[in-house]
Amino acid sequence: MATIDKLERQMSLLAALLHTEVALTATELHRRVEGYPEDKVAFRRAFERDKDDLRRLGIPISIESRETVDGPIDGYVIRETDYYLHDLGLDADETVALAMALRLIRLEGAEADDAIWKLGGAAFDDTAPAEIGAIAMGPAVTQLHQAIQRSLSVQFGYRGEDRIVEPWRLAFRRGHWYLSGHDVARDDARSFRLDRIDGSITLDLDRPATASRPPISAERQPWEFGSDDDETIRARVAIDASHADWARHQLGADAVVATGDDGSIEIELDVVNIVGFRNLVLGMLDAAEVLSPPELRADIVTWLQDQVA
Amino acid sequence: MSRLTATDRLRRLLAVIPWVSGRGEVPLDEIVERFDYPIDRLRRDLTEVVQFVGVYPHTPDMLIEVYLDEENERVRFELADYFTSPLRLSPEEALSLVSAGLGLLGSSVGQNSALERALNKVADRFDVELGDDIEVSLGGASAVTVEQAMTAAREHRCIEIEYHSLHRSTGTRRVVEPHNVFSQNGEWYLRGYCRLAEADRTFRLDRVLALEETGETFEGDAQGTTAVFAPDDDDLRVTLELSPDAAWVAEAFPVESVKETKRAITVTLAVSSTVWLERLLLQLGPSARLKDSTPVLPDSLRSDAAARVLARYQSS
Repeated sequence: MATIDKLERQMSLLAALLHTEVALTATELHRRVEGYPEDKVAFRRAFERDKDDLRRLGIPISIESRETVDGPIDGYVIRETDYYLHDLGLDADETVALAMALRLIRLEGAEADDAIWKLGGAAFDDTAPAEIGAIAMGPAVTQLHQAIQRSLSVQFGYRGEDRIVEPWRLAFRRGHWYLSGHDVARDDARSFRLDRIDGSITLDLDRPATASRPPISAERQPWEFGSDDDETIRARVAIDASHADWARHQLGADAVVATGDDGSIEIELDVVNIVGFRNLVLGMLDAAEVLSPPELRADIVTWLQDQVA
Repeated sequence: MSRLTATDRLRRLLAVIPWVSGRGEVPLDEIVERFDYPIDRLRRDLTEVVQFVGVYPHTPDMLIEVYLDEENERVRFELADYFTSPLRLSPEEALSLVSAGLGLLGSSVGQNSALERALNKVADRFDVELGDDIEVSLGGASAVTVEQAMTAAREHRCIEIEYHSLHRSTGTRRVVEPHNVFSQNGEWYLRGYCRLAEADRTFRLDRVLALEETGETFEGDAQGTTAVFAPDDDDLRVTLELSPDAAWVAEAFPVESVKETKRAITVTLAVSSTVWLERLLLQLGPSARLKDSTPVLPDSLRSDAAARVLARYQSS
């Protein structure tokens, strides 16, 4: 037989597995799919390789046991419900928007093209902008997301210790993925950088996560972080004209309680976290001054005095 | 384009066949563009491979029929029943779509844009709670600013920005010819020719307080290559010794080297002004020590800065 292209053989195998109601045995597939060597051993080797190739593309080949005259024997089949794309109901402009997102944001370690091809692909003209950013994807992201969806604990090594974590949320910030969750041994909330996780992650099927996920904290400013029983202090800060626009931009116009003739402003903030507040104020160096309350003003003064030689 | 492997072609064909089947007759050019399929390879694969794919008993009625028109420019399929739908999206692919989409959408949630609608549909199908179990931030700048800067760069329009430079501790207005917009280390940047500095400059978009088009356009290749933010060689380089509670510095800034021991973390980073360094040192206090710098900075840098700020408290 003339050599049949591997692509043709794999497509025919796929067609055979999709087209059948009952699982087909290897022997049946040998007979039904063109392009395999006659020799049984050579067939088996090629067949196993093809199966691996297809599975690597995410093609769900099931193994089902079938009764034959020789007793039960394993057969292969692809069930339509496992294979066929669920219609996402995307309108044309929505598919284009997704394709554009994938063009602009490079996903490291992921074959993102396939996702768009499956949705029908998208064509761009040459004026479309090139890549503008990157996000590192990888098996850990998918695995941890599955644990979050299924409310399961996960186990992994981190900074040389084994952790058991009830996962809450994945966040990509400052160029890295972070997992936040409840660290069971420490009985406290913790955040983990995914690329610092040692080795593999195990989903613990026997340990449902019970700690409830706290509300999202993305909107909180550094000086607002704290636990519920921390005291909230109202602070007033004078800011020079040189930093007034920036402060208004960062803190919102509502924070401004007074404006001077020279363009300087005074702002008021609710402070929970003193370190976060100190960083805000010192970020403006001598363009800002804490006016009240006295204890926050004293905190800054002491902090600075310790740094004067 | 490099040669496609059998797997590369299979990945494409499993998407191309259903797409064409659902549409009747399709120009080959459109397949080439949508699926990144080189035309010669596509023609050969259609006539030499797909044509012969079929199921037992391989009689002509069980094969996929490929009809190319006379000019070899349009194609339609028949009897490709088992390939009428593409392969479902894997959870990895769904998360990839969601991550890229959320990164681009940024803070412009609630605008009912095509991207946002698409993300909601993907998220629904895959049981992803957007923003709740996954969130992506490519930078702190508002999505409106990012979008405006990108549009201006694409269309070669000059912009005037009000920029708060933390390095210089002042705000300035300047006209910029924007070349490109990119995200790096979790911040959005604009790279362009600054008419105030009369040189190319990189601006952090979250420090752009106002941005408007001047009405002018500029010549040149706006697209350029994607500028990667790289410190200039003549930037100041400092080595800081950090105690473990200040380890975040190594993650927050693009450091050039990190050495970690049990008791301290030593980082080297490029800084573009001493003001920036003063601020960092005063914020970190006892958690950071300036170990070394090139060129050499006075030992009293931190102390002088602290004294300057203190003076303000003592005079009032």
